[in-house]
Amino acid sequence: MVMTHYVLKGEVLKEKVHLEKNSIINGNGSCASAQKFDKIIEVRNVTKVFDDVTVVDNMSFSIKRGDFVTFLGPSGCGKTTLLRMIAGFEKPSSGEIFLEKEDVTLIPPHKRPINTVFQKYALFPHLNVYKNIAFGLKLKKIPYDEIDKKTGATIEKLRKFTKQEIHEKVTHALKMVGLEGYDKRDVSTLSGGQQQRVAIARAIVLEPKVLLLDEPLGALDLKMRKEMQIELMNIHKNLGITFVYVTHDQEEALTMSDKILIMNDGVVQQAGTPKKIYDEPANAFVANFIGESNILSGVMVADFKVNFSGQIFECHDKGFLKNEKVDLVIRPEDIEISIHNDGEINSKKKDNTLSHFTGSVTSSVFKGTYYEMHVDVGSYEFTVQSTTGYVVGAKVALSIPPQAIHIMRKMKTVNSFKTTVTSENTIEICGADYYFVNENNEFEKGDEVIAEIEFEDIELTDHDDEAPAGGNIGQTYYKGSYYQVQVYTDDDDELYVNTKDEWDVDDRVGIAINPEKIRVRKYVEEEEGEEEQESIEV
Amino acid sequence: MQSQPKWRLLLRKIFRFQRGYFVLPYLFLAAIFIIVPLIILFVQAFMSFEGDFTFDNFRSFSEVGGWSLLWRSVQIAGLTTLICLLIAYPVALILSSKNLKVPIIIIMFFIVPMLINVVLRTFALREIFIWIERLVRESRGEIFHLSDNFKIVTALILDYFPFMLLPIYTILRTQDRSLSEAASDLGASKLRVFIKIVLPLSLSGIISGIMMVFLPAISNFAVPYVVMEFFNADYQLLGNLIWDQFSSRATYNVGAAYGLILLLLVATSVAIITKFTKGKAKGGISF
Repeated sequence: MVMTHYVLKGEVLKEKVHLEKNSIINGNGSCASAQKFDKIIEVRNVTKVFDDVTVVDNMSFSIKRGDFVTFLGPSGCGKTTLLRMIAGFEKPSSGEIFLEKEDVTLIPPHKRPINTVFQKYALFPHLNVYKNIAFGLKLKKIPYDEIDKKTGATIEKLRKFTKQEIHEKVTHALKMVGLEGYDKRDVSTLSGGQQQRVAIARAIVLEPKVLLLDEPLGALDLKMRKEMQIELMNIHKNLGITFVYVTHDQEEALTMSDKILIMNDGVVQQAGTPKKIYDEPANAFVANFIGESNILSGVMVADFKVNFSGQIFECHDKGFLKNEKVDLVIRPEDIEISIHNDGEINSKKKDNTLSHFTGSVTSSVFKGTYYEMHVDVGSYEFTVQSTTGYVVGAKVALSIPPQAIHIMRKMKTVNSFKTTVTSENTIEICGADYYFVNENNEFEKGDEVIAEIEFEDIELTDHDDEAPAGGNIGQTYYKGSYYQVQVYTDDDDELYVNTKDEWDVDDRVGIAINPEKIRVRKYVEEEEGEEEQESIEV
Repeated sequence: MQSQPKWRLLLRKIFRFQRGYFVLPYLFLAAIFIIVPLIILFVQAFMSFEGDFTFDNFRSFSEVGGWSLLWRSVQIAGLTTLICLLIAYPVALILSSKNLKVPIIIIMFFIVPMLINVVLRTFALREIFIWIERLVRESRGEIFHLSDNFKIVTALILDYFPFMLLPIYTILRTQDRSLSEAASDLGASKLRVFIKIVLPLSLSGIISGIMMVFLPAISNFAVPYVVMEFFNADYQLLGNLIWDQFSSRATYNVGAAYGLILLLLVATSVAIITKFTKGKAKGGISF
């Protein structure tokens, strides 16, 4: 088990990531096991800032040779920027990138043994299929041994591929992607799927140490995408090289990857195998992003006991503080649903399982192999998946077994800002002046302070001119009886608000705060020192 | 119900509004100002002053040294085009780079001179040449003349430079940057990326630029006329020879014949360029 500290914006948070070494699904069984577990790519404290916006924030991780690793996250989370830094198209603002223990941070892309498959293929329109694939081969120089005639010593020299060699390699690559006989075709006459195959062939023909794929299937239709997913997995298996794949499609990531690195706001949220991430999401963001989930707020009353929705449940998690506020995730397929008959307990149930909730079905949709239903139990509306369908309005009982409950630490429990007092009774928050209660004139203008506001004490208004500061809605987490929304403020800060209203992503809001609810205390040095980040092994 | 007479339905069918009708104004203009004059030019070229059919007009072309003038015009126009291209391409390359924050201001810097009337600009240039010549004469104490070729080429470059810059800039600006990235990813150095990707994909812009500079330059008569201090029998371009037939001499038939020679020559060279670059110039306007 590896203990990792994540730095979330404005707040240092310790997060446990359970990474089991050497228990990884093997990407290519045939590869020599001696080489198998070494790090091919290592990213150390990499930060990338574009025009004062931090896109990648002090990120550290490493990738094992031969793995199929996916960077997964919503658009704008920094995953493509991270990939472009590995490819060499962007230089990190700080930090280093290592390839096979060699620092490649400042090495230009054409000198890196890494090739990229681009999102929009980037095929050369003036060259035909054959010439597109042969492009890199014609430039590549390979070492060969030559025996000096005079001295008899072997000298290593560089030579280019011969025409015959290029022809063989291109033909082989075309065969690998299933495009035999297309070599003379003009690239503009190919379909999207065929163009993508050419792009893949062009990259793998050079036998790179790492193949980077930047949302390569994004432009294809669903059926073609599924086919290409299988094919990419086969190519990965046959070549045995490391694949780094970028996508925002969680299903794609879960299907294809050996390992997934989930990112948001330029920070790694969780890294691990698809199963690990699905079963044990590290926080509400991951749980929300990967798969359907019910995310609730609760309180740990003791080890293996959690209180939510007014009941105490058994669970399999421990190690939290007593009465620590936590998020918990319950996957829809883990909830047991049965018909509720007044007064009697379903006879099929085992003795030790109770029906925890009773409620009525509010919607029911058949999804092919299962039904997805929403069940309103009063305090929360659960999403439930079951092979047995119930009609809308049916009275049902829900039972939540202990293994279905996964407890996560809260990403943030309070909005906290390090800021300054701007006048006798105003304080700067999110770039605007807010009134606060300054009892006994405890604080003076210019004082550095910490301001804390509870999630429920912030009010969002429809118009940003009704409040001192404005912002845009980011992620929204449905917590049953209320929504927890993330607000990106105009000065690139972030805060969380609990609200009854439903907001959409990118909605423009005003941020209003009751002066009495702002807790202010003096800022003490060293309170916010960034902790040394331990590298995550992917 | 009132039924419409059949003839009206028929008329409506014939004169039903079609998208193609929008092209009519242009066809009308083209007929009046291009096709009819071309026919007149063609007929006049084979007509003597008296109105008889003759080839004399063409024969006189070599007698007045037309071929050497034509060769001279090709050289001058070619040199102008080449220098324009050599200056404009790097400028366009720099302007189209994504790192440049305010390319439009610099583009304006090249375009604003075009807002000044071409005659005025050329006159001003002539004055500058005279001023330079005088300055050198006064400092050195001997008679100094700038070369006539230098004057004409300089004036033509200043006139036509934007026509070379803009098409190349446009094509480079719209070029997909991921293509350069892909090439460099596949192992091409910056120079190779330029030679193998950027340059070939901007070929159509270069061809547009060449045509827009070379064609007006080869038939130009006003620029040499003005910078050569109005008339210099020894140094005329083909344009001046043709112009003379219509202005001072009023030998229209001869002028028409010379004009026809120039026209055929230019049309042939355009056809050759088009055929030569067909299929190669992709990703932009092509002829």
